Amino acid sequence: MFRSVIYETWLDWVPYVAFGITAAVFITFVIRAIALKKESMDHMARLPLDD
Amino acid sequence: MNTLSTQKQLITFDDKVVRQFMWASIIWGIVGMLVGVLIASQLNFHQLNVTPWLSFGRLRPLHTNAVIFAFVGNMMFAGIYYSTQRLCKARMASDLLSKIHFWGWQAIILSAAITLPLGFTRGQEYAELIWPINIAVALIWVVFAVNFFWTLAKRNEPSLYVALWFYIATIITVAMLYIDNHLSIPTSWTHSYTLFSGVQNALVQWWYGHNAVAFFLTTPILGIMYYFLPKAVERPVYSYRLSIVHFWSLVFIYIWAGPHHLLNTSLPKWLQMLGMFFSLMLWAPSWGGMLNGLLTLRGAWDKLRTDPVVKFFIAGVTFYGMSTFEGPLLSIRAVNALSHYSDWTIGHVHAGALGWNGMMAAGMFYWLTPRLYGTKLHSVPMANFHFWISIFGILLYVASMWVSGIMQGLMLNSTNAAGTALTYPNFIETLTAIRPMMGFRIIGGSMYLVGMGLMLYNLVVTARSGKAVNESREVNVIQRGSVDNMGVKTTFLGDPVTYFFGGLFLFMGWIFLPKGADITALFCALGFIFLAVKKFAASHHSWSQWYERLLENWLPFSLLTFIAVALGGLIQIIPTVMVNRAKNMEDRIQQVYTPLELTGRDIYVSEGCYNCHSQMIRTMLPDVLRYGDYSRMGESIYDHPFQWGSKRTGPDLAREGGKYPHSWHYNHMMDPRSTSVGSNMPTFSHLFTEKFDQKTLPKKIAAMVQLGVPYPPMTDVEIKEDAIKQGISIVETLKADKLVASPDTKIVALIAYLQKLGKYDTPEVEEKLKNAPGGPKLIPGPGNPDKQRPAESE
Repeated sequence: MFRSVIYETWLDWVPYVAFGITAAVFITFVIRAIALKKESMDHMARLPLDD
Repeated sequence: MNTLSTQKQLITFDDKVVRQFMWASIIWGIVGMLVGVLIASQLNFHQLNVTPWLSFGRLRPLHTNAVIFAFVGNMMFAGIYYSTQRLCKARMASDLLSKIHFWGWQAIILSAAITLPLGFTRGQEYAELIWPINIAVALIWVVFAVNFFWTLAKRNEPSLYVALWFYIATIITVAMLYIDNHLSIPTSWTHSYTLFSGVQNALVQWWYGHNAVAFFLTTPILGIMYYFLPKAVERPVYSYRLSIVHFWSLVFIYIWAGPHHLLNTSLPKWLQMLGMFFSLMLWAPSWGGMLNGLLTLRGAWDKLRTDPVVKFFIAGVTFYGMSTFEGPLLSIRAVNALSHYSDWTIGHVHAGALGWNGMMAAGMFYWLTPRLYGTKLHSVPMANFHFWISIFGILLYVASMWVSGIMQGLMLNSTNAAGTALTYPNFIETLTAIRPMMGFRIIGGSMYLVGMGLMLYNLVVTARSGKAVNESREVNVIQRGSVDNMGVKTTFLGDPVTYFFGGLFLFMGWIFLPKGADITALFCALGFIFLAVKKFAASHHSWSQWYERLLENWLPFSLLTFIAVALGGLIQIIPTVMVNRAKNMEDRIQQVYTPLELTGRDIYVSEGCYNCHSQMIRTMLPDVLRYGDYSRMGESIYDHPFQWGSKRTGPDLAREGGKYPHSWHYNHMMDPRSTSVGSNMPTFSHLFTEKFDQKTLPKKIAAMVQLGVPYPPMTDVEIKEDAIKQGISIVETLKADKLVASPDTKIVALIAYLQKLGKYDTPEVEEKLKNAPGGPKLIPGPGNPDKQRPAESE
């Protein structure tokens, strides 16, 4: 086990893991952002201007 | 859902603390940049290292800490205190905590400004401050966090605006990183040894170091951008949808990118690859954020011509885009082979610090001051002049560092066609080549500093023309219980979280479980994803509702943010920290330092030698040709702290031991130009008269033993005797070369340390390989200081 943690390159899967995690996060929050109601979005966006 | 009652309340914001942080930021910023100009000049004119406490090695940490924690830190707090009160429609929860935060932070900065020039340091970049100050930083940060979250809890606005999300991420992540990276065992009031060593120390340090950039210099400023830019252009942010994607993808991905500071080193390759790939992925959220900022100006581009505030903001956001394009580019291993240890990195960080942080700070201060003092800006033309001199200053600085870095990188990495010899074997040759560029940097930095001075003058006159005002506003009081009502069960046991973390857990099983079980875990993860998609399709309304409620519940939101940032760090760090022990090494093991060598090492750290010299020969042919066999993981396993460095103004020292006689080091420290013509290294003549600290030596050895360094049992007297005995032996050797030194002086200890660098115990396996027929051949090549370098090493 130590050998695999320290020495082995694991290069085969690392790019896929990085891409997989990133894609999962992006897709999740893109869906979330698109699903946001317009009124709710407009309200949130105007909060700094709500003096 | 109507969460507001009809009850109204008049609140007065605490703007005094905003003013205090703003002035502190400007003043400390000028101090930090002044030190920056001085150390840039010292690199060209070594004579400017006039005293030990004004030498480059001690002042460079002061410059970086002042700019990061004093200039940007105070600026960030000013912005956070101002915007949080407005976005929450509530005064800060506790005036006392605000005061403790402000004065405590200034006391910390002052302590740093005193201790760093005195040579009290932990020897890790941006984490140099000694342990009592570390504790003070942690405590003051907690005070800030309590005040901030308490204000969120008593807010009169149900929704948490995106700027607040960025502040939450900042507070949580900086606390986590700072505490982990500063875990130490004290040996005196001014000295400690970090808990981690060698590669694990490197990994934790750059997890912290990189994310100090991410979560101290970026996320809070993004929060400030999302609040102040819409205010300045009087229109909402371009796309609130994009800001959601920007926030979550940034906090999830940023935390994984730390290992890109350790590319081509002895860090395990899988970590290097993770660091590189996640850095590349950062392009997307960073540019999403930049475009969101720039496009907020839609329909109001004319303000760019007339309003200096908008000019500064837009330039700041543009520099954010440039820096976040350049960062991932430098994280590509092949590019990093050229750029790392060179001025290119210095140019990159200054594009971020001066361009992104500095311009955003200026924009915010020009916007804030008239409002905080109920008046108008004293001089718009002066602010415009500040803008232009800053822009030209930054461009001159960054461009000269690009040229310098690329030129020196190319020279250092250049070999003959066969790849058997270096084109420029003398390091000084490459340093001489970049000197003009280092000169341009001084001019660029000075221009920026002049701009800062003008801003201080302009804002002081503005403030004096008005009167400090605290804004009052009538707000609708929120119905308590209508928000912040999401329980643990709803937060963590709802479908979205269960499916997300269940899938992630199984996915990790695929990575870490033994063969057979890993495939099972992968199939289970895929099955889980399928179920999640099915469930989402069936009840996406409840998923949406869960998320919308999350935006009105600061505690669950903060906890989920913490989990998002903690995950990446844990997955990268835990395996390395767990297994980085001598008994698990299958390669070379570093020899333990003698008491005198350990003392010498502490002096090396204290003088800040790591600011210019690395101790890491990368797995690259030019590095191996120049410095010797590439560094192995086990060769720094007892180094608390690791000294791999991040910049080579001088050559790498990983295999310095035995390369030169004691007399060479003696003369080199007395007058570097006597041994290396053209060197810009300061003289270290004070080391010849100052005695090393014998009193705390037993405590230091005891701390090392506690950290797992295998010292033999020794009494206090034996430890001191051993140090003096080795000192006498060095002095005797020096005497033969007609050089005089006392065995208890710092120079003797430093020589002992330098002569130990690169000494390791060779495991039987390697010995056998060397002697076996067909085993690695030795190359006694020209310019190769390590004659034992095996041919296969590159």
